[in-house]
Amino acid sequence: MSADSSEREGEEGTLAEAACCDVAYEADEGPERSELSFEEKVDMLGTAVVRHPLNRDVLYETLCFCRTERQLAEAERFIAELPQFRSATQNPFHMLTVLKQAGGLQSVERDEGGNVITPESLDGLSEDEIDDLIFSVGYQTTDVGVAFVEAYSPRSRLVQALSLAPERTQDYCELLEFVGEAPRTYQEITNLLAGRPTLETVIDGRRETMQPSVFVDKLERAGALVWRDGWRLSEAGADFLEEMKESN
Amino acid sequence: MSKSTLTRRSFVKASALAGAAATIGASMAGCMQESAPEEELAGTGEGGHSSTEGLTKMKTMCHGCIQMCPAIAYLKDGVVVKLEGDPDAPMSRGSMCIKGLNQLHTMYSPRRILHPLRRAGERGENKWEVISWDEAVTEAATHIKDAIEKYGPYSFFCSVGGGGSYSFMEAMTLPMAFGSPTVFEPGCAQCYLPRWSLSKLFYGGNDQSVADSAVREIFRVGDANKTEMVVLWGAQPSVSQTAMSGRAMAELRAAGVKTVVVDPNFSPDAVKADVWLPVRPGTDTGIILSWYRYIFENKLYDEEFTKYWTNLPFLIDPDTKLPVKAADLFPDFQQTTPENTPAYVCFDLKTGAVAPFEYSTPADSAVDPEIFWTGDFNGKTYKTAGQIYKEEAEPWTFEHAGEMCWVKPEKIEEAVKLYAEAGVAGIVNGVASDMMESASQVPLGCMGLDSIMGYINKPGCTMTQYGKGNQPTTRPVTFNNGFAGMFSPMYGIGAVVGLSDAENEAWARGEETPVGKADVSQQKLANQLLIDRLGMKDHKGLYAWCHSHIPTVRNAIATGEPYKPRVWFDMSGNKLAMLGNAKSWYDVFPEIDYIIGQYPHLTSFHIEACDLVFPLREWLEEPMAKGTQLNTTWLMNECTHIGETVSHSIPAGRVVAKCAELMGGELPGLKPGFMGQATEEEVKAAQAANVGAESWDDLVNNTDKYIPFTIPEDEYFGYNQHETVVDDGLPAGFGTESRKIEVYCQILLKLARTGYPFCYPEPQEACEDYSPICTYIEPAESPLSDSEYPFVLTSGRVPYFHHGTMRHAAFSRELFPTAEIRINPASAAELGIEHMDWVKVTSRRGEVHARAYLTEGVNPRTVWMERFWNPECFDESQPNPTAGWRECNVNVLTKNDAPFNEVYGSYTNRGFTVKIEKSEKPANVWVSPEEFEPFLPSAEMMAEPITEDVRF
Repeated sequence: MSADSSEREGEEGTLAEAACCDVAYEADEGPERSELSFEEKVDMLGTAVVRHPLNRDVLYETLCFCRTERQLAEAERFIAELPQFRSATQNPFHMLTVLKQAGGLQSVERDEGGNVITPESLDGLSEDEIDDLIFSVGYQTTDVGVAFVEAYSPRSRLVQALSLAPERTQDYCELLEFVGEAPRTYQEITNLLAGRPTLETVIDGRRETMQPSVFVDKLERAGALVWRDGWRLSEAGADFLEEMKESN
Repeated sequence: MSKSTLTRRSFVKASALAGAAATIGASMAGCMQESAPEEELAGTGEGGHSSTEGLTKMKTMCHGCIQMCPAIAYLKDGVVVKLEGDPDAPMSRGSMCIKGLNQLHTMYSPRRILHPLRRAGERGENKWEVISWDEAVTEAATHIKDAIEKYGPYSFFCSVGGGGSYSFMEAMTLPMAFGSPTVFEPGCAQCYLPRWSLSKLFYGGNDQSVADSAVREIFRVGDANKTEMVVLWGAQPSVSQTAMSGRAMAELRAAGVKTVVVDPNFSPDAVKADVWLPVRPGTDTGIILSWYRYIFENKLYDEEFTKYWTNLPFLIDPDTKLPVKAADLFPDFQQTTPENTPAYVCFDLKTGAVAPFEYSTPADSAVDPEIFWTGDFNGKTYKTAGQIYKEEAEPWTFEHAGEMCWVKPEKIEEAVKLYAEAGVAGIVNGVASDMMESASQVPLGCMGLDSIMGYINKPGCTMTQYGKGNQPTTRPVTFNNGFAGMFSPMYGIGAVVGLSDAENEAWARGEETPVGKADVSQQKLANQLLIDRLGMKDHKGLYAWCHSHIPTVRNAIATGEPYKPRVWFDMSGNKLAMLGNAKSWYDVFPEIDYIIGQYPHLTSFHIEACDLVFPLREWLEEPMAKGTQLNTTWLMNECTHIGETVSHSIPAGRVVAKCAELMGGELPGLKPGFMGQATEEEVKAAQAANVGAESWDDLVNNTDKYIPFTIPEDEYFGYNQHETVVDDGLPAGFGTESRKIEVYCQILLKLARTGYPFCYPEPQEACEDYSPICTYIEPAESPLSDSEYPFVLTSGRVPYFHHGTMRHAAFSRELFPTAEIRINPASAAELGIEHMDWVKVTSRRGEVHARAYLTEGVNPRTVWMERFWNPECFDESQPNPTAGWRECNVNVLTKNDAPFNEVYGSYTNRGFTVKIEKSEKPANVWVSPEEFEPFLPSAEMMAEPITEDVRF
């Protein structure tokens, strides 16, 4: 592998490394969460978010959505309406639970008056009384969750993707623009990129011709593209494209 | 095997199959010659002959390994309660080994999957939801369709391998149906492909593998057996295929056949050998070259055969490294043989000059070719191929080989004398070399030795051809791309070796040729898939089975480049047990969108990775009629059937059909594409057709009429086929370009440079030339230079398991409960390790634990483990979520990065360095018999109702 592509692999590994279930596995046998540093907690959340590619963007968007406290039904509805949810492998409640268990969300229980129910307020209550007391359950992104959302924002992922392969910048931008014009099929994207020099790369010292799907994949995992009956720009992708245009 | 070992039943009191388990002991005893006579067991309760009165008897066939022994199943109320070997089988003759007998445990194991499962928790959690077949097929198809729609066809990939189901054809063709080039098998380059493929390139014939049933001649029955001497090179049939070729080898030895065993481990075959060469792992080619040197130096080769039936007398162009054609050096030369049989050039001893060397019988030859010659012609220095080989072998004296390979020189000499001085002999080349960088070098060397000795197409030789139509009538050719080159006529790809250039060009245009016409309507797509397949630029030998290079696939998943395989259909086995450097694969699971598995049981791979699992039949349920022993074909019967399990091709068949429906009726790949059945009716009809029955019902109702399906011996076995005069008036020869055995494997050079004959008509990019002869390669991690990791680890089978299977079988696990590492007592003493101490074994990839088994049967610097050990001991009582694959899996240690075998890309499963230290027993590893109780057949499983075929 050339030094260039080797570095690329290493850096691109940040999400994948975070996804590596090692962390989860070791965490199972490792210290309690309370013993972890803040950064370790963020990493642990990252593991949970990206461990399954088909759920990755849904979980990330949920963390973003819940920066404002959301009721369970509202959060579930939000998840179910995400275009990425169509391919997801878990149901909305399971995803919320995963995020909560990974420390990205906290559940917020409120009484009929809208007051947060604290552990202290439950002292001396029976189970039935507790049930009666809880009027609503909401979810809110924790500080750890917010830190993760910011660290893995589409913009930072896009900047990372461009910095890893600056020679592809022009083609990334053209692809974003192309998709921004109208929803595109993969075949249309293939036609756009066919024969372009940036499809040539070097892997393990070998010249290789990449498939156009590489560009789609990089932009999708950066959060710039989303599939909804064709490839479309995400809001973040549109913002980024605008920013790139202005900077030029 | 001692009687006491076989009858040890410490856990069986807990078994609901106590009677059946007792039968296991009896049948194993019948398998081994050392068993006590039945009369001695009478009245002891250990004779094992439980009554079969009132039981239903069904003839079937075992599939506990890749050799399939005919068997008899006894059923009570639809439950199989006893198994025994079928005495009518010509090789196994009533034997079954522990793997087959354990079917009673695997069939009714609580780990069986009886219904489609969808993951209910996260990957790594053993939480599943039972869903309907329709739901499962729709879900799998939807994910495949979505991925192809979003990222193109290359996003789909497939794999197989690991035992349990054998969907090789299905795995090879499923990606083709979707227009994807990506499929892999942990076997393939690491198990059999190098030997299989090289035999086709080398002489267009069968390879030297016993385990894969390629070698048959030496196991002929009765007076027809002329075997005198067998070399088992990296093979241990007594362990790997105990009841069939293992038993047959015991019989050969008992009949006086001499054997040499080359194996780092003192295997049961080594114990019984006349000479055992405990070679340093990965250095086999050193011994091979010393044999060449000795045979050349002492003129022990078959001179006439070598001169006229091999290409060793050909002059080699020093610039191209290819044999010189007569027309190149002699412009006025007029070839009298057909264009498909080129004339080469030799040094003629009759005239003392360089001369054209036309193909003919030895008697009709115009020249007396010199095998070893160096000289000038037209201002250029040429060597014969024989001379090049001789110079390669020259440094390899017995002393040098002994020093490099850790074998006593006098033993090497004793071995080669036994081999070279026999009337007939043959080398059995086992799997060991496939698992090393020298994966192409060893078979080249072993086949070359048999060739120069003339041990070809003779009674009693391993490289003697057999089969229906064994007498050629036309010039032999070799088709390439897939089994028997099946994809060549199907898609118009792959040159036919033995046709002339002009004939191959016509073949590629879809025109009539001497071997018929290819359908070239999809040639462009088929050829493009060859070019784009991962790892093919460097390791073009993988084209033979249309497989991708596994480490390159892994890296493509990790980096997304040059394309990202992202929806995975795995067709068998536990990939965490089977793939080299298993953790490196585990690390990329989060990069794979969706993983579909199919298997009869849940394994740690399914728990760690799969999103959906289809349930498959065990072999007692599977209809199949294609297992062979010698010239006979046997029936694997559907003895019973529980749950919603299906034959192994059906999940993919259903998913393909559903995808076509979702995609508007058309798949984006090749047609016919997927080659497997989609319904049980189709499966059964295909199996019935294999043995000439009208239908499955006809077959099972008239089993004795059709089974065994037998080809008469005089049609099946034949000799000196290459001498048969065929329709062009010439002796048939061999299916190579030169029509001779290409001991100097010239086609490997073309393969490296263009992908020929596989990647044709459009070539693949060139890579470094492959070596056309056997050369020595020092293993990349060498104990000669590695002070940090001082031991060299190799591996092999134990009798209790096949590939990744049987770890759920309580009986096998009681006999071999944990990973063991064989260590020489002297080395162990230096490390303070005693017999059965726990040790930590560390390689540059990771660390695992095993119990130390102290034995003089390995070199003090060699250690040995079971090749696919992994414990599969997950259970709800165990907090360990990994099923132990991290703690005891030998494939955590193995090396899956470069250097690879140049031709096939084989990585290093054997012959890498490790260090060892005493340790504590890891948590969650089961050892005592009682711990395996969760694996025992449960009352619930035994009570499962007999089910009909799943209807779609």
